[in-house]
Amino acid sequence: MEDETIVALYWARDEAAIPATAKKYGTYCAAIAGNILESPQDAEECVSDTYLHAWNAMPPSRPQVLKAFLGKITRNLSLNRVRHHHALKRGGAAAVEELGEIVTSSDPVGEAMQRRELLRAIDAFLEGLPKRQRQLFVCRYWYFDSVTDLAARFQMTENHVSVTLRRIRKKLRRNLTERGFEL
Amino acid sequence: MKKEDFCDVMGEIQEDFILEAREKVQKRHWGRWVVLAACLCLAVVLASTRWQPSTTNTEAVACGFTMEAVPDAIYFPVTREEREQYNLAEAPDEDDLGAIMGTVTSCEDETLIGSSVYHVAAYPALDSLCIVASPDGYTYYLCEALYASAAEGETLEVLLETYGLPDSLASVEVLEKDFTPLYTMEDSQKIDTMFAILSTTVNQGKEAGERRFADVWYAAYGNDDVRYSEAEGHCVFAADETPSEPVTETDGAGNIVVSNSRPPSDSVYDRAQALWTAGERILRLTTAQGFSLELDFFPSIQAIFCNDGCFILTDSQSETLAELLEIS
Repeated sequence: MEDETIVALYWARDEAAIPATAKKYGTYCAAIAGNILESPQDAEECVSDTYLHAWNAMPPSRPQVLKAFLGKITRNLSLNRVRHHHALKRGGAAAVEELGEIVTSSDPVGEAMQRRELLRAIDAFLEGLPKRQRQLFVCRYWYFDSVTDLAARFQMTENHVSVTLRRIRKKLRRNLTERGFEL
Repeated sequence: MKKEDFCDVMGEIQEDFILEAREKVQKRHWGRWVVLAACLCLAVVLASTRWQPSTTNTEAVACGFTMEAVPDAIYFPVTREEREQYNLAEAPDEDDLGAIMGTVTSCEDETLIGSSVYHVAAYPALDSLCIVASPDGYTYYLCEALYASAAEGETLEVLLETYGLPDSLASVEVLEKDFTPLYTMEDSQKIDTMFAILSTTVNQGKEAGERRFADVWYAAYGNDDVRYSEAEGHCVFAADETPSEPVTETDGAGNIVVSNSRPPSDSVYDRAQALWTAGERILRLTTAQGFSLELDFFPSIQAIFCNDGCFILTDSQSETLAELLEIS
């Protein structure tokens, strides 16, 4: 089923939207939750909660890219569950720790404005990366793919994956610092 | 900012990037390796201007190979000396196989293409040493230096990044110009200072090094016996007029005068060599993966030579580096 048709079902408050979503994107959302959460049950619950959140979000949302919209919901729900129940999968914990090399302060985030500016800066940085490096970075820090999975996907050794990610993190930190962000 | 908050912000990146990350991964474009293909069978492929193949037998003239899993590396069969260095058996067997690294992507010996490549079980962290499972059996292969270069105008950081330095650093060895080991640098502050200098030096091309030397010669000797030739793009030497034998004469006062009494070996070329290489040090930076980057520091001309590049240092950088390397 086309994304526009599924979104139309949500807007029409037709409950067929949920099974249609599950059929097309269930595996995708499950993979995201599975990368972040230790417990398969927690991951399954997050996927179910994704459909509920999607139901509550549409309308008024009408996402351009349904897959990414759902993926973001699953990712956020999974991370929130981690924070409440300390349920982070070991690989996901390592990925979050690695992000700690980019931001070393323990101060609170601050204004929403800073987050928006930071997001714009990160997008600009990713735009400037070669495609392969960008894919690697997003797979690791958005999807929380393990280094082993990344090595297989990109046909690199695990050592090389780790070194490449480290270099990109360092570059990003330098980039953000030069733009004036206090990290 | 906390890392968890940064993680949240990462969650909101452009949707295009999120979808792109799940696209089928493009195979690497190996066009540039076509140029190298002709070199793969030569025992003298150089990843460094000072690299010398440590070969004592004809096996090393066998074909090298590359693989996608470790970009920038060209592997060659290990020599007897290298086998001794790593304490390897004559020929590996299944028990020596570690985790799989990848497959042979490119090789002049086509029978090797597609063969599986494994880590050596005794050295699981090294990407430089591997075992190839070919139709003829198992063979050890080694790559110690990566194929890396910095174009004119680029900094040495381009080379460092290819090696993942400084993050992947395992050791810093300081050697004499003839590769005699002097010591291993272990002071982390010194190492940080060294990398801070290295990463900002710019490749100004070999001609820049030659010009500098011509100036250094003039400052030392006050003549043009060594001068830079624009036409040749390097220094040229005046014809050596020193006679092979000293000349003994008697002056008008009856004193015996010996002229041209320098030893026959003290030619312009010899003096130039001595001046250029005074205080020379080689820095061997080895990574945790087993790859080594060799940098040739010439305090005389305040430059570092590496992989066809000549990276020029400022006065203060050169002075600091000389201090770090304990060059008197």
